[in-house]
Amino acid sequence: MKKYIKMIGVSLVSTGAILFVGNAYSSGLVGQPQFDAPATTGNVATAANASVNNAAVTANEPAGPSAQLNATSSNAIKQTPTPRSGQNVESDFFRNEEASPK
Amino acid sequence: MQVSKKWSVNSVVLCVAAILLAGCGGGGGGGSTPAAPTTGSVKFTNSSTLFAIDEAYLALPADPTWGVKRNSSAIATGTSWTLSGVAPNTYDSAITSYGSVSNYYAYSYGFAVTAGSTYTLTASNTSYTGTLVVNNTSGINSITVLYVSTSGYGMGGNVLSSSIAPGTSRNIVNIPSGSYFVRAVHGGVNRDNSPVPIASHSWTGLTYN
Repeated sequence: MKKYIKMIGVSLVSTGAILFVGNAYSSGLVGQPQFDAPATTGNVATAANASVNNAAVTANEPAGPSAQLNATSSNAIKQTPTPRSGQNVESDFFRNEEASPK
Repeated sequence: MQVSKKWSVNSVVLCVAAILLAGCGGGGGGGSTPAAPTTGSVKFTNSSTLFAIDEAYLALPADPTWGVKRNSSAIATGTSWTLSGVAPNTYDSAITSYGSVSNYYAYSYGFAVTAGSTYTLTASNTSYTGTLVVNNTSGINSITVLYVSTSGYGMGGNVLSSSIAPGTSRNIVNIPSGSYFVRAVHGGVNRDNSPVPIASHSWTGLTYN
């Protein structure tokens, strides 16, 4: 009689455990293949999220700094890029102005 | 007893499964963070309706020359071209646009390129320098000195690197738009002209005979 009661107790505990996992069990998560499936899904989901995040960052990137190119040189150190052949000999307004005494 | 033992085994197996599942749930967030960018970009935007950007240059402020052009083809009107992989630093930039008698230039100095950012440089119809074409049609006299200044005759120093020989012409390039006083020392005589207009991406001629 004592053994019978003890067996029932174990059975109740075991039943509780089975019920706890029962949802996963009944959802098809049985055995090794089922454990692999969620892990694989998780990785795919992570990759997709990362991709979406990257795209969102690009799309929402704030406008960067900018400037208008202009003809006013505040720095006459650099030589003007080479003129094309077939044109008049050139003198550089900035270069010579800087090089000449005021 | 057989039934109880079987349930116990099932319990252990499924509990382990539950633990593994719980452990898997939090593992997806790590290891996928993109590496931080280490370079920036410079975007050349040609908002001009008339002139292509034929050459684009980028150089450090201390560089003595502009180096080689960075673009492999002209940047057409209304389009942009981006130079990527630029190390973060402070830069100077120049662009060249081809004209009929000379090249025309535009500049931007001392701008910062930062990692992961794009610095935009924009050129328009009015961005460029102009050119003064000096024609010496005299058969005898050279032009030995030429002053081109916005402040008065004989100001700003001689812009000639060498005399303009009789019967030859010289392009004075890289002049900002504006109204100028021009003095030429022609055969030892000062010859003055004002106003001499210089406009973006265009040339103005002066003939000395």
